[in-house]
Amino acid sequence: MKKTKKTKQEPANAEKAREYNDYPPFSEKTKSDKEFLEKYGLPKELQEKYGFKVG
Amino acid sequence: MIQTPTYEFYTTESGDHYNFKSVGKNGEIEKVARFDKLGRNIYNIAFGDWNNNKLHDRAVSNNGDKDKILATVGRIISDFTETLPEALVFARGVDQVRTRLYQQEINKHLDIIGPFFMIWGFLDGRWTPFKKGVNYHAFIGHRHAFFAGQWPPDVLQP
Repeated sequence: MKKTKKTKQEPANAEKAREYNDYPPFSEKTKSDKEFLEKYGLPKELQEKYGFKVG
Repeated sequence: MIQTPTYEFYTTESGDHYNFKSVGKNGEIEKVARFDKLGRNIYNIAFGDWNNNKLHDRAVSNNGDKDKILATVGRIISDFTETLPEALVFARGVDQVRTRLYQQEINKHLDIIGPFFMIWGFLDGRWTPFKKGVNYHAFIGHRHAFFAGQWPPDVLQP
């Protein structure tokens, strides 16, 4: 199996990273996903036991 | 460990953007996965093609390497939650077909990822632990460490 490789901000990748960081915070899809979670919530066990909440 | 071949991937210093190149019959296509914070320790994974400085999450690249791409995204989620073990990762496809594809991928690897990763499926207005053969509308995954006494609430990030 070919191993995956993770690098932290390689110089060759720096310009690309800036592009990603310039990308607007939320896409329309992410906004829709957030609305979904706000409407339906999280698994009760996670909400009640650990206090997770959206927003 | 998932045995399906995966692509090499890279992450930015912030740790919430990952990228890799899909190589297939249509050439090289840059893919991006980003984790958008929706709440305290809650992240949405956005995934798609990177083109003209924009993430296209509805793109269908037909590059003939679907399994390798999905396996790579799985490894990316594993990497992200290794760095941030208290994270919940929410995932939902842009449409039912894509959501079903994610479900099939989870089904395929559930025996391997299940012991260290808890997955919830959303159906009929509620979340339940993921079961094979059920068609869900969305998914949430997190590391089992939550429930193993290794995750006191005071480690929560603001």
